[in-house]
Amino acid sequence: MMQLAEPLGLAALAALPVIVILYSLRPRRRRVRLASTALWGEALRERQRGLGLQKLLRNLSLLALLLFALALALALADPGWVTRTVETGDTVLILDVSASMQAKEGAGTRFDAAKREALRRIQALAGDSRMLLVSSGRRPRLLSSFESDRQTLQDALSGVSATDEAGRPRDALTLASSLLRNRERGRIVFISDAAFDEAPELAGAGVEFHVVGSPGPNVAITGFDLRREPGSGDRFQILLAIRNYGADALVVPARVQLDERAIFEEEVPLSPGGRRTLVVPFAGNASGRASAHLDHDDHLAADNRAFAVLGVDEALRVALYSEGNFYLESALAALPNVLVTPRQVAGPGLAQDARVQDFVVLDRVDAPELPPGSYLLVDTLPPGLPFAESGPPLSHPRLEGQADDPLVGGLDLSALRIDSARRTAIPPESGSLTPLLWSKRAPLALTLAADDVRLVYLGFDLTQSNFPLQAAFPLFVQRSAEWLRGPEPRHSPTQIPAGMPWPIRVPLSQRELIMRAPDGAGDVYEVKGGELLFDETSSAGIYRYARQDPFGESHRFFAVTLADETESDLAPRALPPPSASATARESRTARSVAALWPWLATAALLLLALEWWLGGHAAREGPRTRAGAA
Amino acid sequence: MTGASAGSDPEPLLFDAEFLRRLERLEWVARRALRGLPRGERRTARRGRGLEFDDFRRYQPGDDFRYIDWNIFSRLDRLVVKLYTSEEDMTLHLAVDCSASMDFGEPSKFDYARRLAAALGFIGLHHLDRVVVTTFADAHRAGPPALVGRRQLTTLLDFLSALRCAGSTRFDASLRELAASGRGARLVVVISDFSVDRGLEEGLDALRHRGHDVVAMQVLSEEEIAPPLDGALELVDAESGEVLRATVDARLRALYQERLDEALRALEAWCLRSGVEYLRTSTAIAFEDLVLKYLRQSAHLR
Repeated sequence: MMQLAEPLGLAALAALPVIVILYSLRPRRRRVRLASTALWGEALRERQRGLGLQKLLRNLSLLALLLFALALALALADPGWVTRTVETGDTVLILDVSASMQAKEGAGTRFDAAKREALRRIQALAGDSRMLLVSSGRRPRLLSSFESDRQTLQDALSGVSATDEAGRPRDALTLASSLLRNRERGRIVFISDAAFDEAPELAGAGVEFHVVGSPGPNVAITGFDLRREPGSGDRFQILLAIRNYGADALVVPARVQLDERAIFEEEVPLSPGGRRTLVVPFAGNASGRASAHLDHDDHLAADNRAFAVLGVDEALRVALYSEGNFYLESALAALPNVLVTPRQVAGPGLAQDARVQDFVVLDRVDAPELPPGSYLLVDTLPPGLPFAESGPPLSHPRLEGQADDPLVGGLDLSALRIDSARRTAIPPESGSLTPLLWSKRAPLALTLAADDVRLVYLGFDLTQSNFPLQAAFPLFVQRSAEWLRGPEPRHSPTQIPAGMPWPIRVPLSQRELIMRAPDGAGDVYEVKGGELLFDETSSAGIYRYARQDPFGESHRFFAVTLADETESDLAPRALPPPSASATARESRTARSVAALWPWLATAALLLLALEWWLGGHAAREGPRTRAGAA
Repeated sequence: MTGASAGSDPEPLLFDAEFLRRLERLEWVARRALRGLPRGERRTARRGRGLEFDDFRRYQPGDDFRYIDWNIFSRLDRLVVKLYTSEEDMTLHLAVDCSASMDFGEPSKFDYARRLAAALGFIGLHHLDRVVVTTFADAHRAGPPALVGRRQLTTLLDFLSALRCAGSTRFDASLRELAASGRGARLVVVISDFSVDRGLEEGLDALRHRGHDVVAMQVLSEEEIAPPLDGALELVDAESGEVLRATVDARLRALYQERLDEALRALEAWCLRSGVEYLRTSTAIAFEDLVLKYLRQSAHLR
């Protein structure tokens, strides 16, 4: 749409007839009489050969003058081109990156269409408006801050791609709403395929939905797992759930592989909209990387495969330095899948044990300074710790306090009696020390979580107390063992959903970790305190990393899979209309006007130069005319 | 550059005293140049019945038996006839182009052509030849009756002085009419700028086919050979009146020169092929020099 800022400038159009009159009064060509113009005609035709526009050039001078006046008049009128009516204020643009956005749509995917729409909105951004980009997968992610620079937003947009995650649009909308809180002018734009079941819950969110994608047939693996049969060492079961979201009956080839070995293959008939759940037993060594595949071409390929890792539980390795402690030995032996190695004297072998064992128990022994590792100290106080004995032993200390801690929280220690305990003092500002039990004068039990040492300290002799007789004792030992070993579960799940973080625990001495994604790409991650919460699990497949144990390097795997019924249903759901408040906010619009006068002024100058050139040099030749008409 | 005015007024002093002095000098020079040639003797190019043997050729049915060489027949048993050339008085026919295109240049091509015709006629009359002068433009126009003897020079000059340029050239029709007029073979000298698009060859061929010896004398002005044109112009054709709008620059002038050279070469080549004597001159060359130097070199006068 065109607008004129200075319409009076059009008065310059009155110059047009003046130009025509002046042009008609211009000096005419000098007339020369020749004996014959035949040869001149041939010469002119030779020069004009290939210049079909020469005829048009005869009056080009006048045309150039008229166009010059027209362009000048329009430039004086200061015209502007209203390129687009766009929203002012701040916009949070949410881009759906869930797995269903990988579905085919025309020549590309739904995500391609979504990116095009996002790019269009970025380019239409008004000069004083800002936009923030958020991707919506299993978790919302900020792709940019509030930016008014279109190039910055385009760069942020170009780096995002669709994932294998199941979408949670409500989380993204919650984030977007919080970002726009207390802003008078702001809106949320959600570009999505609406392939989620939370749509009704989004009503009233004041969101402008832009839906991309159309329904299409799809067959998906909606469940996949392997498990050991209860009570069996070498018999396993495969669980494979398949669903047909299309309107046609199908027979889909399905197969399951364990590492590179096919352990199941079958043609699975599926009725329209039907589902099949297969439980397949098999016997043998079932550790390794498992994958399920549907060899079927449909709209969404990401859900035609699923992954799992079936591991072998590892024993808990414990070194027990003690002259003999029935209660402690019994409590440790009661732990599941434990391997206790008894030692006599805490000498040079302690460092080796600290490296290779999950943790070391030092019970009433003289211990040197502790090498890096995990320890359960019972009435043992090695040098070099951030706490030390501060006086003579305490006699019959009474339990005055109990921490609400994972180790002792909820334990009933009201009947605890202690004959004697070490008197220790915790220095102030010692954040790595956490008292567990304490008397009026000294802590009775505490934990230390330093960078290279993790320990649980009991400041009294178990045999000089009734603690081993308490029901809380074996629980305390179990909790201590789990805490000392770290958060890595003994019984790892076979898979996690795409986008979910995966906790990794490695030896304290390991400072970095190389993670290889399903596509083989490797990245190095820094590890602190032997723990890493890996959250870059957007792609389904088998992930691999190396754990550097003292006794050697071992590779660990974990599986990320999609297997989500909601995500595989590609039909867009009905979305709520924008709320009245959102409509009111969107009505605040502004026009983006591009000034045209510089272009017109340039055109006027060029036309003037053209007229000057034509008047001085350019050919103005034409066919013969009769003298009377010339 | 401006051409002569269309339909220019007669130039009363075209054959002024200076011209007549130059003509007298031409007479004296011509007399020396043509010394040795018997008066009234012009050898015709036609063979046949004559007094002077010229050549043999094979007998063809219809040939006169009297011209069979019986000596050759007796020796070679072949019939051969003898050819002779005859000697007769020459008729010099001067055909002057009076079309509007001749009224161009400084000096005018038409004035130059008239002076040239006067000089040739003077020489013809001096040698007791029959001199016929006619004009042509869009049609052939007869002149005075055949002139013989020096006393007719005044008649010749009066006729040439009274000529006017007008009309366009219809070479084909005009020369056909000229060829059909009169009797006997002649030496026809066509004085023109040959500024025509078509009909030139047909007209000259019509003269040749009537047995005439034809001389084509092309008169060009310096303004045509090296036109001093430049800038935005309207070029008016003197004959057709057509106007050509052109911005003349060095490039266009070069193209014109190329076209002119091509046209002149084509005319010269056609004349050479057709047995037509061709002579091109410029108005910058003195007409008496042309008559003496070029005509003698070209053996038009023997």
